[in-house]
Amino acid sequence: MIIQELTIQNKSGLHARPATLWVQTAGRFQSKIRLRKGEREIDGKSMLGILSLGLSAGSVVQLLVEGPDEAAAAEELTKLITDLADKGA
Amino acid sequence: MNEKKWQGIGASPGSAAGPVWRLPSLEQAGVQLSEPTGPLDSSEQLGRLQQAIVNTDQALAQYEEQVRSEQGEELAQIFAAHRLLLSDPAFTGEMELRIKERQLPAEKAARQVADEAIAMLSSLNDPYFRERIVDIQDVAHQLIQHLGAKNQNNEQFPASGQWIVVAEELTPAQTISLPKERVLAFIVRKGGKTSHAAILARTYGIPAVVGLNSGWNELSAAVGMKLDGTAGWVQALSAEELNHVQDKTKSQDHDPKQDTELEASRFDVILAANIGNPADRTLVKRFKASGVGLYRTEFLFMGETLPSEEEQVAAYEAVIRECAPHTTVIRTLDIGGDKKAPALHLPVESNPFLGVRALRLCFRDPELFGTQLRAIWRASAAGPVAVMFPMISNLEELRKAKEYLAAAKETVLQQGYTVGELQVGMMIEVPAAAWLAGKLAFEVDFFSIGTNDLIQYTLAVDRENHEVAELYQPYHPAVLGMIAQVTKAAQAAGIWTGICGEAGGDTLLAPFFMALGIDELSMSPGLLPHMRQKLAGLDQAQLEQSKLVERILDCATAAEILAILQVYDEGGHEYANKGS
Repeated sequence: MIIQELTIQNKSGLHARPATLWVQTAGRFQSKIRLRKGEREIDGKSMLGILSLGLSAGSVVQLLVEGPDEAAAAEELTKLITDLADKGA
Repeated sequence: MNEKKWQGIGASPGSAAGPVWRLPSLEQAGVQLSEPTGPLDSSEQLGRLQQAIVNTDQALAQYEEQVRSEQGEELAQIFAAHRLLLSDPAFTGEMELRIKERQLPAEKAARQVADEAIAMLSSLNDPYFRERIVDIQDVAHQLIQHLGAKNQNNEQFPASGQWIVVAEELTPAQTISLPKERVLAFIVRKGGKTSHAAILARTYGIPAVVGLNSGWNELSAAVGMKLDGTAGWVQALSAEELNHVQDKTKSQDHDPKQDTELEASRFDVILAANIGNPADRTLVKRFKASGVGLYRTEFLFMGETLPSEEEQVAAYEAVIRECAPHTTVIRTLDIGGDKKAPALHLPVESNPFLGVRALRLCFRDPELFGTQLRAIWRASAAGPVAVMFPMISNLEELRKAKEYLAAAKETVLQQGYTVGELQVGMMIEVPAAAWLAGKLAFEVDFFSIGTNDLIQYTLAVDRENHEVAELYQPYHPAVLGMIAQVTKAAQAAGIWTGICGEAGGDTLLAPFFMALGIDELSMSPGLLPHMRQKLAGLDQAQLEQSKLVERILDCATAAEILAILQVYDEGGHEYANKGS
């Protein structure tokens, strides 16, 4: 199991398009992917789950990945978050 | 007619008058769910839900494909996101759970989960997240429809006749599923010029007024309406006026004489179509385009596998044949950036618009590029054709692309194919290329100015980022100054210049382009009739006399430029209103 902290940096947060990208990316991995913010923990492959966290710029979340391809999944998803920030999306 | 004109936002040009068909709002439709009368078989309910999910997904997949090929990846993503919801454990998964655990009927489970999701999103403070409510509504609505729930309203579009579609809001799925040839116009209460529905309306050449808040209640009983999608007003028609209008349109509908008259405008400009799919070639004839000024080839490459040389030859030839004797301008692959191609396995870049995009990608994959160029050469025997390279920022890239083109020709000839004449041009969409136009012009047959990217790169504005959308100004003096400079460089070198971005179909800019001596305007086919009308109201001598180019290049702000251009808009309006 990999646990990592992620800070959402892009201006408009993890809404529509960024959330779609996230779910599409997460869906490519076999591992269980969960996101935890405060008390709440959601399925990282769920669009609604992601939206329900209301992740905006500056939000900090814990990424929990467990499964056969956990290392690759954690890396890809972390990269996605930084890429979004660089793009200014 | 003394009814009041209600002002909304003109979202897609053209005027229309006719009977009204009201699209039930998403909240209204599907809420009348019948209560179960006896004990429910939850496995049966589960089966129904699963079947509805499959059916909805199939419909969405079809929309996604249709929109992708007609309008590109950006809009197709809306449907991709909706499909993700359908496989979302917290959405459809939760519905299944409720059927199993609470023995709910499928419709009720779907509605409950959707309502809770909507409530959850409404509680978030961020407007970005609240906007997603429309997406949830849309998917839930389609799901319930596929479950065959009895709707309060008869949702079916009338089986015959032409109608003005009036809606609270219009989702992409609703827009695309209507029989567009029988939709006279759209009138939508919510949304702006850049809403999905507005963009779709423009693409299909259907007049639209959106953001019509004032007068919404007053218009709610009108049997007929009249609207102007350019000026953005809507008027109610009485039953009597409606009859009158319908009799008149029957006799006037598409008078071919009128079209020919308009075509013989005083300008020596080619009005061409932008297309992205071989199937769109039918639109070329329908809207009487003089060829295709931008044939986007990306769609061929967006599937799971890459197209073979043969497949590409067929896709190019089909369009070239249809357009002959007019020219088809094929743009080589412009993928990368925001346009995805799963089969190419492109890495995610931190700044894709400035990354390995278009020609840059082609140079890295000579086989990919070579295959396309060979296919274009082979198709060149079928009729007049031109090729153009996107995203060029320096002379070396142009020369390199031309080397590839020459090598492809040689291969094709060696293989025994015949080739035709092929004009070679380039897109001007990077400011560096505009600056360098005087040099580049001597090495191509034409320039095609891609205004969307030119504006984006010149003004450093991401057009998809709502936060900076107002900085995206097609009338910015720097943008128009650059276009003027490119055109002059082309004229000095004796080559032709076209405009193929959205500005090409902007009737407000037409006087400026005509005064500059632009040779071709290429646009969404649906915009062509409006451009013809606008040009018919303009006069070359008068444009020159009024020193339009000088006055515009003298402006310091987009607002000043807009004020000048709007004066020329009156002629066009007069024409548009003549028939009514």
